[in-house]
Amino acid sequence: MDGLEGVGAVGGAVQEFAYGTSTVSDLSDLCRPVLHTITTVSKATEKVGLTAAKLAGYALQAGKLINSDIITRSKRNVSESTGQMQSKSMKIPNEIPQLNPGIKTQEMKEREKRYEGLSGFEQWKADFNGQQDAVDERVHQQMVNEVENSAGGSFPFIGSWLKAGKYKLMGSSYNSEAGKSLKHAVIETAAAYGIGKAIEYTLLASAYANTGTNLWPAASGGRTVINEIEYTVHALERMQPVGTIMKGTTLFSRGIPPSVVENAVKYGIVTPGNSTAEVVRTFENVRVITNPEGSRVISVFKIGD
Amino acid sequence: MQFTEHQSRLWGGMIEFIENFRKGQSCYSDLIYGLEGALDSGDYQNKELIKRWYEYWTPLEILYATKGDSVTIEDAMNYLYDMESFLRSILVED
Repeated sequence: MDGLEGVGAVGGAVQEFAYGTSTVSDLSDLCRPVLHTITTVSKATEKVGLTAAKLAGYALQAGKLINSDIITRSKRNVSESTGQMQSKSMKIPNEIPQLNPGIKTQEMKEREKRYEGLSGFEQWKADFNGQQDAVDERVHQQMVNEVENSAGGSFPFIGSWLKAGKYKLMGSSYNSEAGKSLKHAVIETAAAYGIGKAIEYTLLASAYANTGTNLWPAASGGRTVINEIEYTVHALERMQPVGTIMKGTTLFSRGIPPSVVENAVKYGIVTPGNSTAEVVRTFENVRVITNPEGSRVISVFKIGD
Repeated sequence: MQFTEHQSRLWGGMIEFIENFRKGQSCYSDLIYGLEGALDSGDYQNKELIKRWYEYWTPLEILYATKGDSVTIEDAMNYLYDMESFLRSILVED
């Protein structure tokens, strides 16, 4: 599993936290890919003579820091999300993320002006539709800033550790050059690969809370009915964000939200399945297996990019 | 169809997945997702080839989606034959 897949694994788990449907109580396992990334990024420290064992220690400790923050933030998001669903006046955050509301960049101010009058969901759509890479980049940069400037705030564990500035981990202290590399590794990893993606998924959950549009329902809740279409657990697992579910070394989940499935059910080309109990519906590169009525989705996958 | 050595090996590996299942050496889910994993790993970059591949894989996936790992060799026999024939035909072209 590479760092990118780790993004999906952590992001998906946090998404479930945000929905309040997660059965995961410890994100340690899911954070291992993040640790791998930290180890990779930390290779720069080799020039100051650190051993591989110490690097592993760095990764482990930094991973615990990140893990703690993810859990802290996720629990908070569940709480916020629950409160938001109870309140019809909930607004989606104007910026991604808006964790230090006191700090507003010029870009944020311009954006607020540009989106004045739009509903939260309209703003969200304007931000996300067709520009995922740009959004990812923005999330990444903002998360880097956020982690760097956070001391006991948004990311209390990482923030406090960075503020201490001594970079003492696993009982050992390291010189400034090694510490600098480690700090960079922790910030980049937390921002780009772990928490940054988690925030993105949390925003999707916020959109759900605001609009009732369930973008990626968790498979852990069993069979689910969305817009009068029943999804089997197998189908839900296949639909989850890419990399969040693995079968061996195979990426099992393919990142297909219900709206895309619904589109294929309604407008896809229908061909026979293996028996009269199912049909195959293909719309562009999305293939959906349903019952003949199209009221029950059995499986979903992509036939190419 | 021009494959790299890596792609050819993965393609051949798909045939091995089928053979292993027939011999009872692997479960059905290993077969299904081993095949799909090999296709992903090969990064074949040939849309038409991938589309054709999924035509043969879809019936196998339907079987898994409806029966899980209780799919028997007899259940899948015809679909496996079709898939294997397709895979071998591509290897011959290569």
